[in-house]
Amino acid sequence: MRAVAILVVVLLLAGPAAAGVRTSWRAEDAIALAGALLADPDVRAAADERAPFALRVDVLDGADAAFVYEGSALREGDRPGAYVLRTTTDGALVAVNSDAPAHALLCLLAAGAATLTSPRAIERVALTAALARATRDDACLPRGVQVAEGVFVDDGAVFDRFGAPLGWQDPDAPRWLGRPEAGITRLSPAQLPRGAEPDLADPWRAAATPAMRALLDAAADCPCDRGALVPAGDWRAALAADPRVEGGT
Amino acid sequence: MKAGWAVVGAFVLAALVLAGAAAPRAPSAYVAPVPAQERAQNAAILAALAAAGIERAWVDAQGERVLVVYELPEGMALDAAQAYALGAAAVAAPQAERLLARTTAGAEWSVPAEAVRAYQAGATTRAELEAQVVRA
Repeated sequence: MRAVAILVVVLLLAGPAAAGVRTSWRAEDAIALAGALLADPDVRAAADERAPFALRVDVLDGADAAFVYEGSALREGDRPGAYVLRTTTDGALVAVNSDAPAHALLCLLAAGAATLTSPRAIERVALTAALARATRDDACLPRGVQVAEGVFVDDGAVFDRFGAPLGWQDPDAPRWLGRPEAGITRLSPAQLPRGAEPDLADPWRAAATPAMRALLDAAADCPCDRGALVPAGDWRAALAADPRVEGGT
Repeated sequence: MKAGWAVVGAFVLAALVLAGAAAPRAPSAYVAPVPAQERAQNAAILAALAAAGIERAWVDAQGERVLVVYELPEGMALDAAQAYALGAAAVAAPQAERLLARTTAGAEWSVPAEAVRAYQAGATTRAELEAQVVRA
């Protein structure tokens, strides 16, 4: 009987682990991801060749942090600039500005996640990035590639193994996936109300005029939310149904 | 006999565990709740920036501080853009106490929000306001 009981306990404990099931991202996942990415020879080589980088963490206060991506040898057209806009006890929202190469983004994620995990229990790490051009022009991360255990990149979007979005890389991604209901993760300038032009002769007061205040009030009513991630649904089904998708994961 | 039932039960349990482990999981959403007020203020600041031609920007209004990060458009003076971004943040986020504006090139200004509001209300001079700006 005792042997049977032990067998049951072992199976209960080992079953999910053997199947590689994870129900959430934890600190150790983030650290493992960081290690996998930074150890990946392709990622390292691409990073070394194309964009030697340095990462700095500026702790603004107990809850916020900002990363600054400093590319010292970026290609012409690439722009440095990456920031963690929001970190909480259950996640970090990383925004990568403009056209940083995709591999730099991933290295940033890895290093950032590893850095952030020490004092906090990070459940999930989410990325929001504007990397459309980088991923489309840059052959180092073609669409549908698995860049690390359980992490996939598809033409601008990063997903975990369950298809949950770790982040969008550009505002076109939801349309590309054919799921407008996926929502807006990055407020496009085209979506913002217009109708007033600030007078920059006195820039400190330019936004405080009645016309500009009306514009700001109108924008405040906009249902969009730049930076918030929206449930993606079954992205694999959307990919399978999209004739523009080549391969996929 | 009892031992036999126990073995059968163990196998059934093991099968259930393995089946559950192997079953596909539904996609789970990353939930990054952003309060409605912050969403509204972010959108308002972004709209102000876009109205001035600053269309590549990130804004994060969180409680007492507002962070604006943007790419300085070609031809726009840095001082004007920074002052405008901070002025817009002061208008859009009345609860904010500290305003920060950064360009993607690394220029950063921070200023007490109250100083900006006082200038916008005509209570102080521009020189008095700009004396409180911390440039990095």
